Amino acid sequence: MSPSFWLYLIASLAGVTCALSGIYLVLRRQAMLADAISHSILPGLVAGFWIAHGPNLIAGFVGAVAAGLTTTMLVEGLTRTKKIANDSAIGLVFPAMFAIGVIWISLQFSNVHLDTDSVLFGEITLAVFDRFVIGGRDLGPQSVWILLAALVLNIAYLVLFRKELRIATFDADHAWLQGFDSRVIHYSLMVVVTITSVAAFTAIGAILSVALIIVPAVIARLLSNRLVPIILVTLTVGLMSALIGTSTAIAGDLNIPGLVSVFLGVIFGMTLLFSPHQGIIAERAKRARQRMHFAIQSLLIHIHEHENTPEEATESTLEHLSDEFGWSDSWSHSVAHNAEKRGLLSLNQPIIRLTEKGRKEIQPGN
Amino acid sequence: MSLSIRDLTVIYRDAPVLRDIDLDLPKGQLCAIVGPNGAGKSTLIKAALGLVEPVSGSINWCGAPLRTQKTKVGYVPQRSSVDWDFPTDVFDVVLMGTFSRVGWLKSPGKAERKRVAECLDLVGMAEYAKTQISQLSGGQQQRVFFARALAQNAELTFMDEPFAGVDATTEESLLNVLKTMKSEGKTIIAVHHDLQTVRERFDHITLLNKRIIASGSMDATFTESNLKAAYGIDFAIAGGVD
Amino acid sequence: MSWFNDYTLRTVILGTSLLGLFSGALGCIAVLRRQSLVGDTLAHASLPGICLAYLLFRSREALPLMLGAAFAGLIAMGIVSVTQRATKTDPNSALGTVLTIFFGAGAVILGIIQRGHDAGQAGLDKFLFGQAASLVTSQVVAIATIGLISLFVFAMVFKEFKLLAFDPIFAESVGLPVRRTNIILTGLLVGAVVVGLNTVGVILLSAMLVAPGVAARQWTDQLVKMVVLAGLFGCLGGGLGAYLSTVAAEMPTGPVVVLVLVAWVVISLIIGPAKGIAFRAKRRQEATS
Repeated sequence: MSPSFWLYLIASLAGVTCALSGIYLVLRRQAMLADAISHSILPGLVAGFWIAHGPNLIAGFVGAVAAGLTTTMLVEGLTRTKKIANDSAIGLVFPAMFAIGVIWISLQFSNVHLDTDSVLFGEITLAVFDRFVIGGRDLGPQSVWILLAALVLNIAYLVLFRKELRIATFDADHAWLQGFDSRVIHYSLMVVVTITSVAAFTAIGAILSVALIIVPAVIARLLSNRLVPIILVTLTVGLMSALIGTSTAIAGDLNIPGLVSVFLGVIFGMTLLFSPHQGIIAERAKRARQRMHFAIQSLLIHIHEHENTPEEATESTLEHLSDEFGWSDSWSHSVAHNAEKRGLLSLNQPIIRLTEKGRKEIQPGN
Repeated sequence: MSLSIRDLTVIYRDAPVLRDIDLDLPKGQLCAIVGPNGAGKSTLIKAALGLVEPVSGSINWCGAPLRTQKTKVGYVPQRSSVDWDFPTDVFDVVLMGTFSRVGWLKSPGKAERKRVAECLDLVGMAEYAKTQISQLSGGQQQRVFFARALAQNAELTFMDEPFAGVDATTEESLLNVLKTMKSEGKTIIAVHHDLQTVRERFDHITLLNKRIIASGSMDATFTESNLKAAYGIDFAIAGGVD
Repeated sequence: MSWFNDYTLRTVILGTSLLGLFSGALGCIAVLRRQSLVGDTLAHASLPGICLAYLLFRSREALPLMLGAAFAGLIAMGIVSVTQRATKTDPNSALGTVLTIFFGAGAVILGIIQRGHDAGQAGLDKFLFGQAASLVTSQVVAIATIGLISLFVFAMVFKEFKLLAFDPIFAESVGLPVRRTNIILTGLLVGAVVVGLNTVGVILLSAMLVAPGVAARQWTDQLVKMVVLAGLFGCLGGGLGAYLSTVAAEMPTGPVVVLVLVAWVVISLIIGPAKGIAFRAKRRQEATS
């Protein structure tokens, strides 16, 4: 099979796996923990390599997972002192972990190729050539198998703990009283996220793995407030952006992880604008509708108040509305015509008159 | 006396919120905890539930530590304490009340679902079963919490201001739920803020202001002198005191 | 004191101390407004700005690159704020989304620059990982200039900041121009970030902003004192870290500075009188007895 086949496979697997692990992270409003974990993996990797006397995959993996968990526990511990806010704790712990990693590298491995650059950006093109060979048989790139294992782990976790994840996220106190310690959920979720980041980052780099963990779930959250659609949208966005980003990057000889992030950004931007529930345009339209509705109500009440009074001739004219409400002429017109179109009043004569429907509209209790 | 609190002290930010609390509450009754703002009412029930770590003290239910019998305890928190944006529906939230019986890694079955439907019916929310929780009004949210507590079928339920900010109809139907629970022998302990209504709604009252001012049956305890001791100002009790 | 005669060393220590002073004082904005991760987002989001500025000016001079970083940072925060205002997205999600997307875009542009095998591009890496050890006088001057301007502006809006950090709803009700103040405060954070980028780099920057403020908070309950102490801690921590990294051991400066500051946070947490663990335990004992 050709290298580009493996490339696409790695990218899609990373997209789907990371996206899945991000769903509850985003629902629990802890997206930045993914960022923190992905950075603090570094000293764990170094520790693993140091113990194994070289870039040993399994040792590095174990070290990285341990480092991710350490970060989670330190953040939790610092927050629990109530002397440091949670965001400050995150902002302190992961740079400290990263700093330890960088210093350790400079002391121990100045000759080994483990530069922070590739930790951040990843080397997806090289990942294809790191083969998994057993008994002389080439089973494809290592990354494929690692990501596949992470994917299975994510699916199993979401299915097995679906009840516990829900109750602990919705109401942690209630969950605890029911015998579900939400810390167990918190830490197990962090283990899954850490393993996913570690599995993904050798192929696609720390930053893209964070992007794929956070952004698809955030997009899905903007589009739906039901769990199953959220999961489906998250998966689709993860997969699509990975595939489109990779193919565009190959065609244009561009940085693959970077371009996948950019595509995630494009989808996010479109959702932000056009989402039917929460999108900016939908929101604007809703606000305009409310503004019009309120203006029409005020107009109807004004006309009603002056109905059959001597001032009616001056008060209930289209021209007077700008003085009465401080409206611009064009807005007065559009409010009045809108109300006419809804059959609430009639503009046939100089004096504006309410229709039956208009009268009903402003009756109390309506 | 079945809920027994001994020597409970809770400190928050260096200042004692509750100090040397000794309190006994009867089984099978509707018990109110009242007191001025900052008296530690919510803290008291959170400490009893184990949600707040006390500096000292023990809480026993029927002679055994309450924390070893968590599954017998229900809780109706203040509405603002949960994530109403969480993507789920009313039925699912009430179903969560059955999770302690179901246990880790297992799914609730037919019996639980039937129970949830009954509870929703009791609080008048049956037609909202599939509604997203983000679309509920305040009163409806409170009904959902009551249904969740019912579904749990706990012996002892703590409620934090159950009638705060709900409309009159909801209040009426929630009161009926409380009466139903009482008739089934359940114990309710609720933080209540409204002195006007506490008398007719509860059987037992505890006046709290960082310490226990008075605790006992409504008639014997709801007196002007006790209220004055708790609130520090004079109160004219509507309808008079016997 | 022979090291003080070493010109390079003096420049590095001076530059790092100044950076610590500015980012420590300005970082209090982030710490008190629960925006500690904003610094991290700004730092990551600056990458495309730096790369574009390089493509535009073909220069590795500190100032144009800093301007590019500031520009990108402001746009990023604009998107974060629009997202939060228009939708129910929580701050963590909004920050994480914008951070990763901007950084990814930066990686794409950086790739294009690197493909050109441009001799000048080597300097761009410094912005990512920081190269305090190679600070030159012109950079120290740039740090001092931007830092002093930022501090001056901070002093001007200090009253508004106090109100906004303590009670934003009250601030709005008394007619404080909340939106404009927010933009100015975010601008100040951007200033602190671009100053720090080429010294400690993208990833370590959030610690430079957060650590001095968090440490200072453990020593005082007063806002002015907190900002002054944070500046002092940042300055001393920066200087000590730079000194240790170059004189005492051959280690990268940025990480050593960060570890020095974080160590000071831990010490402050334990012995600081305002919120320190030791003092609290004592007071708690008094309260119960």
